[in-house]
Amino acid sequence: MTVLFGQLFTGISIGAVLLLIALGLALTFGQMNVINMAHGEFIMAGAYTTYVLQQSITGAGLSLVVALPVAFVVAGTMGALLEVLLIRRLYARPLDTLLVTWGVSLMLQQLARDVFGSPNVQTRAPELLTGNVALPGGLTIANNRLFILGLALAAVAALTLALRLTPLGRRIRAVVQNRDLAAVSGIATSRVDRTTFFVGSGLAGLAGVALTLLGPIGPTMGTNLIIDAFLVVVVGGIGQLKGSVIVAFALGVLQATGEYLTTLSVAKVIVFVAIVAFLQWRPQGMFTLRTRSLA
Amino acid sequence: MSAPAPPWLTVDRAVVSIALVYPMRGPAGMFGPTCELCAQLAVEEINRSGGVLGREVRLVPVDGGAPPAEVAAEVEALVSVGAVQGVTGWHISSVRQALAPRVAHRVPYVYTALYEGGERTEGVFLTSETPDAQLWPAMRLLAGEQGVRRWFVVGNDYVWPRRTARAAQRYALRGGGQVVGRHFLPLDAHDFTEVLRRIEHSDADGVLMLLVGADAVRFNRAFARSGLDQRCLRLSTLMDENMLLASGAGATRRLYSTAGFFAGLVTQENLDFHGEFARRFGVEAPPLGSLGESCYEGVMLLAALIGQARTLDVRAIETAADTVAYHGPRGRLRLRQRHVRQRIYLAEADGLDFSVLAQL
Repeated sequence: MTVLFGQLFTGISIGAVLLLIALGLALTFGQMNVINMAHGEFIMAGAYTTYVLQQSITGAGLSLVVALPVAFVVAGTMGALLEVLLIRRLYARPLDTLLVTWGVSLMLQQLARDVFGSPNVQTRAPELLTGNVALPGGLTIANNRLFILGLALAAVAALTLALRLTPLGRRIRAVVQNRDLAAVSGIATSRVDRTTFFVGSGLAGLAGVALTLLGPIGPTMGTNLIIDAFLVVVVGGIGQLKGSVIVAFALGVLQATGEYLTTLSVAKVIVFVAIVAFLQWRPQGMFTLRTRSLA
Repeated sequence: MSAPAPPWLTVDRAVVSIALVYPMRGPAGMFGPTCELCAQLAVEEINRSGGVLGREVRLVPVDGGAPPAEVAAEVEALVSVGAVQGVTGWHISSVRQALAPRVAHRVPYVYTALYEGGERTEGVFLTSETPDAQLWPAMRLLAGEQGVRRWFVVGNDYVWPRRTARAAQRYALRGGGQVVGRHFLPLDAHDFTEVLRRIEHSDADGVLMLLVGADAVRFNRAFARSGLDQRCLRLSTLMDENMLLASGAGATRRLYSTAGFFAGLVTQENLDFHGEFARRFGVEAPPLGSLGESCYEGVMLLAALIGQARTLDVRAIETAADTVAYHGPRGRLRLRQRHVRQRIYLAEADGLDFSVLAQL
């Protein structure tokens, strides 16, 4: 029983990481329908930002606190640049977007290799985020996992509130629901697109900071994560956030339980089979956005 | 849902369980059996003399030859359910990098493989040789005695060979020579045509091998077949008696290795260790070498760390770590800045064995 409870928390932790890396994608892919293959590299950019900051700010705690906003801005700026320079010209051509952003992803990986070298680098975790909280029954919960769970939930809350309550959020939702109507209503859709991309990519940067607490930083770290992130958004359903949140945690728990009952590789297969079966049943994903779209 | 729990997953308060992360497959798998038996021997010795904190020590084997993220996930799960109270073993640096942040300050972690140096994660202790003490003196000695000036570095493509190659470049310059070429191959490499051609054209008189296990073995054979062993000597910081045996006597001419342990080293401690090993596992047991023996060191250091701190709490262990010492086949060893300080030797392959030439 204790073991099952332990695996449940492991699943929630895996889900929190998934959620954090998928949240940005829920904006750029989910809301804007842009398949951005370079999203993983924005995660990497966030992680390397943490590493660079730690070279100059020696206190591990302070550098992490500084890294969170800085990584958001660094990754967000990269995303906004990508949108302005390339993606903007390709909105009507999704397959070309996929190819172009894949190319950008390869270039960014090589850039990281040239700047930081191909071997992985490590950061030091702040004292507070090492160690664990002991629970009855011999179970422990790692502090870094708790922090990531908190960060993921905070990011979801902030994003939800921003989309619901702020003028920018209203504009984003308007553009997602009906671009033409939004445009004729006086919304500068291209500016909204740029901002949405900034925020979505910035969230990837945040995920990158969080991931430095769990493992080494390398040029290909983003690529390994991006598939899972796309899965979360596709299964969760396009155009809203709650599906992604539910699916991230569901996949995490499924993965952890599968791992416990079988092995890691078999668990991965179970997750994929479950996803394929689910999409056969509900190709539109868990939730769909109801709009009176003309399209 | 009632899942059949694996036998080690019965959390037992009367036992201190240690995850032994060692290679069961992949290029390093060939010295996995030695790793396991050496750790087993250490555990039995500790248990005979009263265990750790008065509790019996048990090993929980984990396959360190799996992809780093998988190993990290498995060990993290073991730690989270309280199934292990410590981690040790020989595994490659990319596994250590994935593992260290997951267990840092949760359970003590003793890493035993020679590595590139610079690990500063808290709660991680290392019995490892590092390039400044292992590679530099060896390169200096070979430059002086054998006149090696032009080094070619061949390694697997991950953090340990990459970082060590960078250090080797500095050492070569310091010793009046230079690194004339570097070539990195993915783990589990089989085809050495390209790198042998490059060595041939480079005019190198020394090859620094930073290849793991079976990769190094295949390289040794290809190197000897190409006849390059007439012209270049080979130096490796990761080469043990298991790998010599796999390479075959014909492929080990002018092959040098440097480590804190060689099976052929004649010291009282080492002879005692051989005796114990043979008595326990018989004469047919896999050959002893520095890589497998490091797991004995790992278990011993972990037990000494816990014993000194009188608790399993990692922060307390860390505070007490500077006064920790233990006794093993490498002699009486002390910790300094989380690393074990030890004597390191240079040896030359003589058929299937190493004969120790010098203490560095």
